[in-house]
Parts: sequence; structure tokens; C-alpha cells
Amino acid sequence: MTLLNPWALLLLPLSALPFVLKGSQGQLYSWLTIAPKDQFSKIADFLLNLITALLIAALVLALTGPRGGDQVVQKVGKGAQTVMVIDRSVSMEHPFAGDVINGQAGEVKSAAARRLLTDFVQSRPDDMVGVVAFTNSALYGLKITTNRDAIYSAINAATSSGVNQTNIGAGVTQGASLFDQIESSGSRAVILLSDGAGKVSPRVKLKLKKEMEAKGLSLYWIVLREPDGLSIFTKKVYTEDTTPAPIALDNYFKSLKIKYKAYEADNPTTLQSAIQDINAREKKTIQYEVTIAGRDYSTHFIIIAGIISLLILIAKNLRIYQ
Amino acid sequence: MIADYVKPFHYTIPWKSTSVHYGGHKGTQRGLGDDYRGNVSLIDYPDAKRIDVRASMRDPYENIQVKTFKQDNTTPIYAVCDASSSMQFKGNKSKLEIATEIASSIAYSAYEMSDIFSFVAYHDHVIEALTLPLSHQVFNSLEVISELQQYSTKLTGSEGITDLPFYLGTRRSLVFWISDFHMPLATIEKTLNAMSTHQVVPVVLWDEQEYQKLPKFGFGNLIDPETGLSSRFFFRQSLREQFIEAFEKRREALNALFLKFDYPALFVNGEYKPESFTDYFEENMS
Repeated sequence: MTLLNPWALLLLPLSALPFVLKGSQGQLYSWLTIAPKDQFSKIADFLLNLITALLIAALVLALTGPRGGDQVVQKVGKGAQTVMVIDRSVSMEHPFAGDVINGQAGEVKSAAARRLLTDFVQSRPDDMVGVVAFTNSALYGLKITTNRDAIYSAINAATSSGVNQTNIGAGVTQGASLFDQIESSGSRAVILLSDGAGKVSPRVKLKLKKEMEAKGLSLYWIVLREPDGLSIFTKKVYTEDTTPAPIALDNYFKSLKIKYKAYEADNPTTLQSAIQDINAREKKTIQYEVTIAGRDYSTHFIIIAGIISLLILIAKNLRIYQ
Repeated sequence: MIADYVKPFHYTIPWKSTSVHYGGHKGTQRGLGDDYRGNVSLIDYPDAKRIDVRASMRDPYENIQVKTFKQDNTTPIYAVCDASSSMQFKGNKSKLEIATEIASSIAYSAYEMSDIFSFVAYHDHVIEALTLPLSHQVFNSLEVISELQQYSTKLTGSEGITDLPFYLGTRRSLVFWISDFHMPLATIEKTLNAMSTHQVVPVVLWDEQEYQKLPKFGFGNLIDPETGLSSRFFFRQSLREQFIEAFEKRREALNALFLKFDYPALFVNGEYKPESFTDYFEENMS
């Protein structure tokens, strides 16, 4: 139990006021000497003064702001600390590659990503999730937290469209840096959701390699394939100069000494199965601490004061004449 | 213009006035009147109109006798009014308002009886601004008295009453003492002793709100405006009965004290009624 404003205790002697001061409110009476000496009235008067003193004391105590100590609760969760790095380039507003084939206007990629990622977060109530979006540069969304409402809002924000560029390096770097601010729970993953890839400069590659390896991050890359885009799982062999960007990036990720898996989704169903796969992989128990603010007792004192005031008001004004 | 609240009553005095002025009360002065005084010889009182033929015939010395009468004379009337803080007690009307009504009515009654009237107000001293010398000037009196009802002071007692006898004349007068008599009996007795030349009519202003109509239940803070003290009571039926009992005892004590001086008290309970004053004089002073 701590007092936020201990100086307010200096006001506590004020509660003696009802005993010291005499009320000037009342009926002018012609001659008090003739009034009978009534013991019962004296006791009642004392009690009323006492209640008034209690009222003042309660208000003073409410002013001091008493509150219980902070509690640190250990929470055990299953799951991971996940950072979602979401591509919000214009092409995310296009339908899936697979849908064009059966001639139906399907779900756009960003909407499907939003829906499925939200479901993913919903299915893992103990996970801590951070969100980063990127187009031509990274856009900080949300620190790694357990606050579900914040996560849903961040996912919503990150899946609306931006400009037509895909700077994967910046997004992943920013995503990896989110782990700086939080203690490791043992299971840390970056889910990179993009449609396509850009070139990543060697400097960024080096930096990423250092960070990812040092932090022991897992990386899951879900590629939402464009209709005419090529698959990263192609068997074709390219020479170093002619390697398309996605494959180069895939090769680069594979070269890192981290847990890495790439998925390719060309419709919502495959995206869902990719996410389910990640879900199944990240099932370690994690332990983390939550600080719960101490209870604020001043409200109790104010409620007590309110009740007492009501009592005093009734006592002072309730008078029955015949 | 005479205010509505001025309601004159009829009063008499139980003694013979020594004044020489023609008035409305029996006097000791020989003159025109119908109060038979005695026969004197025509030589002593040469008034042929009043020759007493029968007495003259029967007089063995054959003196011619004349009937003499006593003249009706004036008497001084005083209204003495308590203006201490306790008189600001307000039931339906404040006691000062009732006192104003009574004092004005006395002034006007005195005027109708062609008596001379004086008004004295006091709290912890005699208030000169609210005090008038004996006069016939009824409108002046009424105007000064009407200021009384607005009069308001705090923390003033009624000690000024002990100076009061000095403001009264030496001739036997009718003194209306208007007060709530909420003061020690000893003070009252001392004052009455000092005023014993006069015929005092103690007009006791009480209000039923003071004791009979106190709350039946609930808290009440009673403040004594004279001392500034306050006391909180938890009112209930039994306490109200104690108040009534205290006031009844007080009434008995006051009555006993006043009767010692042969000044019966006139209790006015919350409202001035001129009939009760007329009745009072019928009962006690005729």
C-alpha cells in the first residue's frame, strides 16, 4: 500500500473541525437557557459530529491517493513472439493469381491476408504479436504486445494499400528490430507476407544476416504469387546474373543460419494452409511477465464520503412537524 | 396615515391621576367632571351653577354649599420595548413585528384617551434613537415605533432594562413592558422594584413555535442570538414535552413574580389581539 500524495495527510487534522467549530446554520432561538438539558441529544450531536469528521477524513484519505502495490504476474503462454511484416504495395489489392484461371473475381490478396492473419492471431491467445508494414520503406505498426485490440487494428492498418514498391529489406530489418525492445521468450518468428520481392542491397543483406542470426529468429515467408509471377520453387536453374529477385531472396534466406521456410500461396486456401503450418511449428511454451497496476483505493474513500454526505444531508434536513 | 396594524384598545387606570391637564382618567384635581368630591361653601368656590340646594337647606349654619367635582385628567403612558436579539425570533411573525403592533396600538390608544405617551426601546442599553419623550404627538410616535420592526442586532442582551427606570417620569404612570422576558428572574425583580411607583403591565411575547410547535422528529440546531451559543437537539416527542413543561414552569414563575408586585402579566401568544388588552383592563384595573 502506497500513498501517491502523502502531503495530503497534513490535512487530516481538519477532521477535528466539526468538534471545534459550531454551526451557524440553524434556527434562531429566543433563549437557550430555558431549553431542557437532554442527554440523548448530546449523544446524537456527538455522533453527528463524528460522522462529519469521518466524512472529512475520508475525503482527505481519498486525496492522498492510496493504492495497492504493483503486482507482477507470470504468464505462461503457448506460442511465439511473432512479428508480421506485411507488404502493402498496390499489387496487394489485386486478386490472387489462382482466381484468374477459373474466371471468377476472387478475394483480393490484402483482404484475404487481413482475414487470415486476424484468424491466426485469434487462434493463438497467448502469442505476442508485433506488426510492421512496408512498401518503399518500413512503416512501424505495433510493438510486440499481447493486446489483441491493438493487434487487430494494426493488421487492419497494415493491409490497406500504399504505393507500388516492395522494399522487403527495410520491412524485415524493421521487423527484426522490434525484438530489441522485448525479452526473448525462446520462440521468435518473423512472418513475412509479400507478393513478389525486390532486390536487396548487399549492405542490408549483411545487416539482416547479423541481426537474424544473433537474435535466433525464425523466418516464414509467404509469397502471394502474382498471376504471371514465377514460382520460387521452380526447378529452373539460373545463372547468378539472371536470377529473378524472388529466387535470389529465397536463396539468400536459405543461406542464413536460421530456421527458415517459404510458402507460396496463389489463393486464400493455400495462404490459410501456410499460416496453419506456421501455427503448428511455433508451439513452444513461452513465459513472460505482466505488470498489473495496484488497486486505487481512493474511489472507495470517495464512495464512503458520498454515502456519509447523504446520511448527513438526511439527518440535517429530515424534520417532521406535526 | 395610520398603519393597518394599529388596533387601539380601551384601558383604564386604577389610581387617581395627579395631573392638572384635562384628560380621560379620574384625577385628584377639582374641576369639571362627574366624580363627586365634596361640598364647600359658596364663598370658597363661587360657582352658582352648582349650588347644592338640599345640602344648603339642611345646614344648621345656613351656609350656602356648592358641590365640587373632580376633573378627569391625563396620565403618562409608557411603552417599553425589548429590542434585544432574542426578540428577532420568528414564528409566523417576528416578535419585533408583534411588539411594533402592540406599541403602536398603545400609542394610538393613549392618543384617543388624550394621554401623553412615551416610547423607550432597549437592548444592552437604552436605544436613544428609538426613544421618545412624553408627548401628544401620535404620528411622530407611530413613525419611530415603525422603525422597530426592522431593527436587527446581533449578540445583544436585555441588560439595558436596568437603566430603564431613569427614563420614566416620577409621576405614577402606566408602563407597558413588552418583552419575551427571557432574562433572569432576578433582573426582572430588580427592575420591577425600581419601577414600583408605576403600574406596570408586563406584556409577555411568546410564540407557540418556541415550544409547542417544535419538530416532532429530526435534528435541529438552535442558535441563541444573544449569546451566540448553539446547541443541536435531536427532536422527538418526549423532548418537545420537556420544552413545553419548561415553558409552563417559566410561565408560573413569571406569574408568581409579577403578582408579588400586583402586576398581572399579559401573555401574547404569537398574535396581537386588541380585545385581549381591553379584557385585561376590565379584569384587573377597574
